[in-house]
Amino acid sequence: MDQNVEEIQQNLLKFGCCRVCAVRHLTKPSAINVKTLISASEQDHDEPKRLKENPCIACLGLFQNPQKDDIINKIISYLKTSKYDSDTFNLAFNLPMCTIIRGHSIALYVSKLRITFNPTFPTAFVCAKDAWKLMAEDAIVKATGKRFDVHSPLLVTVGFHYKDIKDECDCLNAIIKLSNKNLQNILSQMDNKDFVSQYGEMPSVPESVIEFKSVDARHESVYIAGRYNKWSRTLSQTPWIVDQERRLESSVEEIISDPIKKRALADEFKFSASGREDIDVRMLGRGRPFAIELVNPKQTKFSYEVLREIENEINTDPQVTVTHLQNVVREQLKELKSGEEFKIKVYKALCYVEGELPDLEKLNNCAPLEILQYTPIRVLHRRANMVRPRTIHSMKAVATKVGIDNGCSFFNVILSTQAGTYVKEFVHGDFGRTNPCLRTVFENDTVDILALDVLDIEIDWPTPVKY
Amino acid sequence: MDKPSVYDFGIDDDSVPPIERSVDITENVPPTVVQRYFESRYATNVNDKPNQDYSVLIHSNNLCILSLASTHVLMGKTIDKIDFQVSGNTDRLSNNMTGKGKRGAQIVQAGSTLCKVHCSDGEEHKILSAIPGKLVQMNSKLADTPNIMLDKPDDLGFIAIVLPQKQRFEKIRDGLLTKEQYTNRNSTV
Ligand SMILES: [Zn+2]
Repeated sequence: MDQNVEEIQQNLLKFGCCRVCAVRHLTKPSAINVKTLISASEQDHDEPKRLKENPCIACLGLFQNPQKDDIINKIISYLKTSKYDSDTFNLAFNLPMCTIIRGHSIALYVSKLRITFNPTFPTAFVCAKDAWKLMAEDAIVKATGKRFDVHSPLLVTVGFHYKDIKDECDCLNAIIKLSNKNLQNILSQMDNKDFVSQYGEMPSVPESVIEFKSVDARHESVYIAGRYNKWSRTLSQTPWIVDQERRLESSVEEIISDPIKKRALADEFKFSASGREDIDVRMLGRGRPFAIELVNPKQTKFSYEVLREIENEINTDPQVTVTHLQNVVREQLKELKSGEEFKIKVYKALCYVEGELPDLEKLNNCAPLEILQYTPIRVLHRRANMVRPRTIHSMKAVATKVGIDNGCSFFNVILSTQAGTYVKEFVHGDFGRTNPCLRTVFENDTVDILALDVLDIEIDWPTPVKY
Repeated sequence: MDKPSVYDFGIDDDSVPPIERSVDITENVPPTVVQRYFESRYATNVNDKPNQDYSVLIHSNNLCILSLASTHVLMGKTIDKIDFQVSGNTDRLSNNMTGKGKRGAQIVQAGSTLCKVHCSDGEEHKILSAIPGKLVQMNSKLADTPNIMLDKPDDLGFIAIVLPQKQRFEKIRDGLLTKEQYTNRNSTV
């Protein structure tokens, strides 16, 4: 080792640095080597007499035992018991502000000496967090089988407590506003002389040791998508709650989510779909695309077999069938949402008129049809009153029988519409607020709708699953 | 509808009841949209004026559709023109509001003038609001085809849509005649 560097290191040890901190303050981040750190730590522990009674002036004892091994063990046992199935993990430290201030103070001291010895020597050093992670990584990996990866979706956050933080920060608070955010920047923008005059040449020898406070983890959201059919005319897509009171026992969302919830152990589930059908409308054909965001899930690996198992469990409910269940990534959800606005929807409407059947060809001949549609009265209480142009791309009416003779004539209309078209209103006109409508086309005020099915949402999403 | 084969998943379409068998259809003529979703109420002699009688269709979401009742003074007449400028600075057709809260909508009281009707017989009548609330929509079709107000009162010829204040809704509804009360009243007059 460079003799000057060795000399500074000896000074740091004398001031009360632990050996790990003395080494890392004299190493540039790019030159760090976990073996050097570990051997420094071992050397410390082999010299029990040296300043053993004082916590390190840089790390407040973070690299010293018993704290170091204790914290590592806390992280290990948390990861072992918390059920996260991630193969990797990343670590974040919430260190008390004073460890940053202490690090800055020592860095100033080191660079001052270095300038005397060798003005070209770099002053960057390995910060406490990075050094600690490097040293702890190996033990955690060995004990948990999880790999350390800074890009891991699983972030383990360790919190610390330090008794004397207030006194330490107060002397600087007198001249500058400290905050946890960008503390490093605030300090480096400070005039060095001001800093030293307030804080002193070197950090004081701490009276208490840094303490472990908490370990917690958060996994990035995981997304599951598929398509659903709804066979019931008494089921809403999402829980129907008015004034905190449930109006219906269940919903498509809940029927789909429950078997997934049970397996994913997530904090929260966010259901979204490419539009929605009314409670009394069936969703037939290949179903409606949907996705569920699992927020902070513990179990994230859904194999082909598990997904089929979930489908089977959902599909025991006779009201709903889910197919093509699969893992998707966040970027793929864009398609789901764009489908809500732009894609064509195909419907079948069972309609009737009082008396004789009108000339159905009139309807078959008028598509494509541009209509103007005011916000329907049935949703007007919770939406703005607007008039929107919509396109009916195609229509085909066919007479049908319902097995009842009540003086009415029945017919089915299959129509494909621009997304966002309200089909029930297109049939009866909603007090003339949708125009033209089936009543105006047939010039018959008794045209009305009895039942509606969605036959298709024309989006090829998500990717079909091979069964 | 043919579904793309890539999405085939073996659901037996035959097991899904056809649309005709997926709903109950009554032996009688099925209820109309109005009968299905609205409660029919009436306000008579509004502002203590004889035959200022209105129908109020109350949707399950509390929105109210106002139209002329069959006993309204205008019934049987012919309308020449409807004037929506009800006062110097209030034009019922320029009722601008924003958002789902309908901010900026005109507020009407029970008895407020919604429009003025000029009849072919030279008479002039005010059309009054039967209930208080936010004027959500004035039927602008009445400007070009005023007589639909008389011919199709509960459909194309409605007068206006009014949203009563939530807290006052039940009191307002209970202050109106039920369909039965209205029918009985007409048979005893
Ligand atoms: Zn240290």
